[in-house]
Formats: sequence, structure tokens, C-alpha cells
Amino acid sequence: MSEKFSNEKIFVKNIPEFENEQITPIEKDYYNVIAINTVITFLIFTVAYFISLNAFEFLRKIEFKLLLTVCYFVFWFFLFIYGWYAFKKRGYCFREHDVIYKFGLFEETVVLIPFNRIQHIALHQGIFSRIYGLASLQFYTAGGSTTDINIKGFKLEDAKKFKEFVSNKIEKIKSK
Amino acid sequence: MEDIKASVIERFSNFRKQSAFGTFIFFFESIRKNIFNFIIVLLPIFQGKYTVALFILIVIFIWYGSASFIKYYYFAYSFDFSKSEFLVNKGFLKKTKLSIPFEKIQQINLNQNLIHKIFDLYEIQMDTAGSSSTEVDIKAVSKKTADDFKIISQIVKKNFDSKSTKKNISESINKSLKINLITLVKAGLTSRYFETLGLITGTTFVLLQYLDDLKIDYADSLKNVLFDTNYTINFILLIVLIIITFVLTLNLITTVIKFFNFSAKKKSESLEIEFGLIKTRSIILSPLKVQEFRISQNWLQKQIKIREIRINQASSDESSASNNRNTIKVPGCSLDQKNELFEFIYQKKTGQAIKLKPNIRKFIINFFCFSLTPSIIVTAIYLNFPLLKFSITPFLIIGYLSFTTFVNWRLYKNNELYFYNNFIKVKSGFWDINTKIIESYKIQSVVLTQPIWHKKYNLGNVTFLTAGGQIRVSTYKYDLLKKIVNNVLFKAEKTSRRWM
Repeated sequence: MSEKFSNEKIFVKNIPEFENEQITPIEKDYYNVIAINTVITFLIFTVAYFISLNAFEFLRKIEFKLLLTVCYFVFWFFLFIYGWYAFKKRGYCFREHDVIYKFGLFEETVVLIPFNRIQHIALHQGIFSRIYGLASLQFYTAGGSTTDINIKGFKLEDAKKFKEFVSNKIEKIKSK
Repeated sequence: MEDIKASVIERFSNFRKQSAFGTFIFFFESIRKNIFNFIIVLLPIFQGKYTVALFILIVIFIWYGSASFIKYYYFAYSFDFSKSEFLVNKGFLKKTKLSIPFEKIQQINLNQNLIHKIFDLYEIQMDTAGSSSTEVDIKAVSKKTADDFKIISQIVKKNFDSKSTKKNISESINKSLKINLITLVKAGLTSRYFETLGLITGTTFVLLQYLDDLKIDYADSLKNVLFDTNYTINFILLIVLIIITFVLTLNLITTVIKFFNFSAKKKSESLEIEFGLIKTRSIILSPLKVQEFRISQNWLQKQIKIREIRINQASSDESSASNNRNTIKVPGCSLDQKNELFEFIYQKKTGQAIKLKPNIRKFIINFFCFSLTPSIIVTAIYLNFPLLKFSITPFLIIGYLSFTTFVNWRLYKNNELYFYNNFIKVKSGFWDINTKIIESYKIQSVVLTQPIWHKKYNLGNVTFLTAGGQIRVSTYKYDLLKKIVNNVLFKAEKTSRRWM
């Protein structure tokens, strides 16, 4: 390792910029799945809430019961609103060499995974997703489970197509 | 050299057992693990029935002995060099056949415990990617086999490297890096203050819990001691002095024992590291698998010009990330040694950098959340409720406020992000200043986040993840971070070099 003079430029010019890519939003139908899930959770919690309100001695004694109940419903109302706006923020983009996933309402998050770092892909389909013919794609890397992104709400045929597309990319890279 | 290799390949192509002394190793190990079962023996002894105790003892010994022998007898390993696989057959009732492709073997470690030293044996650990299992460990082999394994690990690596496009130029064989006792003492006296202090506190609580379990009532006597003591300045100083001495001594002893005789030998394509006084550990480091290079230096260490280095190798699951087999620590070394190590691993220097600093809002937000808000809350409680009415409280609040402000300021001041042509470096810390370096093309994924309240200030956070460690910075100029991310992705996607 001799002292060689080098003057390489650090920022490379004219490389693709991810922030200019067109982000595809999630299928509208997927909001129905989110809504169904939220409603089910809401029902379970509400039943539990009213049962416990009458079952426990210390809760029965509370004087501001009405206020508590109003607060409870307002909380859920905001949760529904949040669900809708958070859903609108979700989007993805498959580029030639990587996948981009965007999400987050209060904290906008962009996850970028190059295809040559993907270990494997899984295609999941939940019960309610099946009704609407939707599926999700999960990408695994060696970077740890925190960033293994799970993009939900593809049309099943799209999901299969993308899985095929990415798998081919991985194969090609491996055989190189 | 080739002859030796050929003979090794021939010998290891057939299934072979471990050293017969392995039975003893298994035996001692199972006794060590099940030492609490021997309490049964104590029961008859207390009752005076010595023959019964002896009988139980013999039964236990025979049980563990035969189990150890079975374990030894039904364990065989071999290498299939044509298929590039390491094979293990084991199990008496439940038979297991394992085959591990060479490319999945991250590194081969040779270890020696106390028992190993007595019989002059070695333990061989094979690190595999993607599974935390230590099932492929060979518990006991002779010195000769251990030496053969060093050759095998080179064959395994060669096999691995021949598949990769990059080929290292072999140079400077058998050059070595040594850390002498004086440096170790220096390192021991200047590092890990907070860790050890935390450890001592933890141990104290565990001990108190233990006393509790034994139904020993220490609470009253402790209270008496606490309230009866006369807290003069001298007394407090003495206590502080005792704690400092204790921490320093403990650090010194553990560091010297753990890293005694630290040496790193350069082989053509790997670094062979050996250290330890009681338990000699040997780790083989291969540059390709290195994911993160971390330098840690505090103010004291800066004065005596030593630094600690930690090298993270690839590990794909969390459980083995905590396993220190993938982490190599160099307790204390000079700037030249650091540079030498760095250049050996990366085959290049870092070069020119673009330096970035976080926005002042990083400090302001931390100051509000962790310094000002708690202080205001406590002050409000102090003024309005009798709960915290002690004469010392105002001083504590002022002390807390100034200390945390100082810490936050240091954290802000020390935080720096460097973007090189091939590397990303981040500096951070309050007392121990950590410098993490990762090679740009080795990233696994990138996560950019921007809280909405930072949108109008054009600020954001970024995390670069590798297969062993990550770099995260927050409250930097978002446009620049995006530019860096684009460049890093370009590096990672353009290359066909292997990341491990």
C-alpha cells in the first residue's frame, strides 16, 4: 500500500435519485382490509371495556364514567382517521436495482433495499386479504429483522409478478 | 505446503472421531453444567448416611460418564472437499446428519479451556451464517488436528474466495501485531468505567435479591447503617475513592486476564488472533466478512494515545450478533497499529471526506426532553406538594439540569458524519467517543426518516444497516442525506463484490 495520489470525486454526478421516483400507492381495496381489522379490534375492545366497567368494583365507583366513555370513543375515532391517512402515505416503487417502500404519517420513512442484498422473499396472504384478492410481499436481508420490509396490499397477480421479477434479479446476481 | 494440504484433505475426507480424551471434556462439562444436582449427595451426608451418599455419587458419576462416552462415540465429522461441505454425524437415539456448505462457514475458531489445557486439547467452533446453533462445535481435538484445522480453514476460505470475483494479493505473511502488558494495563485503567459500574450495581441488586430469597432480613440493619452514619465530606470522599479503586482494579484484572498476550498474525488472506491468560481464545478474521470497524477513545485514552478497536464480522441473526465470536476486540493500540489493521482489512485508505454536522435542533430537542422538562416537573412538585420537601432537592435539580445539559451538548458537539468515496463514518459519544466505519458497498438496506415537525427545516435521520452493525445519525440536513443515500446505493448496486 504505497501513498498514491488520488483525487476521486466523492459524490458521483448523474446517478438516479430515489426522491424523484414515482411512488405507486397501495391498492385502494387494501383499505377495506385495514378497516375490517380495525373494526374487529374495536368491537373486541369495546365489549371488554363495557364488561370491565361493570364487573370491577373500583371501576363501578368512578363518577366520571360518561366522560371516560366519551374519551374512549373519541380515541377510537382518531385511530380510524389516523388509519386512513397513514394508509394514504404508503407506497412502493420497484426500480431496476432496488425496491423502495415509503410509509409513515408522523414520521415519514423511506426504506431502500438493493436487490443484490435480498436473501429471500415471502408472499403472504391473510384471511381478509384473500376476500379482496390481495397479498403482501416480505423482503428479507441480512441487515436484521428491523428493516425486513413487508409491503402489504398488492393485487395477488401483481405480487406474484413482482416476486418473480425480484427473484429473477437475485438469481442473476448470484449466478454472476 | 501443497503436500501438507493434500495429506490433510485425504485424512479429513473420511469420518473421524474426536480425541478419546473428549470423553473427559464432555464429562467435566456436564458436571460443571449440572453441579446443582450434586446437592442430592449432601442430603444423606447431613443425615450421617455416608454410604448412601457415596452410592449416589458413584451412580451420578457413572451416569454422566457413560453419557459422555456415548456423546463422544457417536460424534463423527468429516469434510467433503469435492462438494465443499462439512459433515457431522451424531446422536445415539436421535440421529442427526448435518451438512454445512463451506461458504456458510464464517470462521473457524480454536479455543482452549482449563481442562483443554490439562490434556493439551483444543475446541473447534465453526461459525455459520443464519443459524445460532453451536451444534457443529467439535469439543476436543488433539494439538495436531487443531493445527490441521488451521490449514483446513484456509482451504475452506480459498474455496470461498475462488467463487468471489475479488482476489486479494497476498503480501506480508506472518507479520504480527502484539499488545504488550503495559498497553493492556493502560487500556484496563482507562476503559469501560460505566460498564463496570453498571455491572457492580447489577450484582449488588442480585445479591440483595438472593439474601431476600434466603429470608435473611438485611433491611433493618441496612437502614440503621444508612441513618446512623455521619455523612461528612471526608466520609463521602472516602466512599467515592473506594468505589473508584474497586472499579479500576476490577477493570485492570479482567482486561489483563482476558487479553493477556494478545497477538494478531497476518496470514495471506486472514488475520489469526490469539489472546487470554486462563482461557486462550483464537479467532480467525477474514477481511471480506468485516462489516463494521469501530474505534473507541475517551479523553484519558487520548492523553496516553491508545484506542480500543472493535471489528464486527457478518452475522445474520440477532442471537449470534450478541455472541462475541463475531466481534473482535483490540483492547489498546496505537494510531499506527490501527491504520495497519484498517489497511489490512480494507486494502485501502479512507481518502477525502465530506464532513457533516447535525443541526442545532438536535441539541435543543434533547435539552427540552431530557433536561428541562424533567427539571420543571420536579420543581413544580417540589413547590406545590410536600412529597419532595428535602433541603437537598434544589441542589439536586440544579445538578441534574447542568449535568444533562453538559451531556447533551457534548453529544451534539461530538456527533459528526463523514462521507468518503468508499466509506461512511460516524462519530458520536459523550465520554467514550465511538467512531464507526462501514464500507459503503456492504450495506444491506437504508432507512431514511423525517418527523413532520422537521419537514420545514429540511432535517431528517438516516440508518445504514449492514450484516453486523449499523450507522445511524439524526437531525442532519435532509437533502444532503438523500444525496449520500443515492451515492451509497449506487456503490452497492453497481458492484458484484461479495459482502461476506
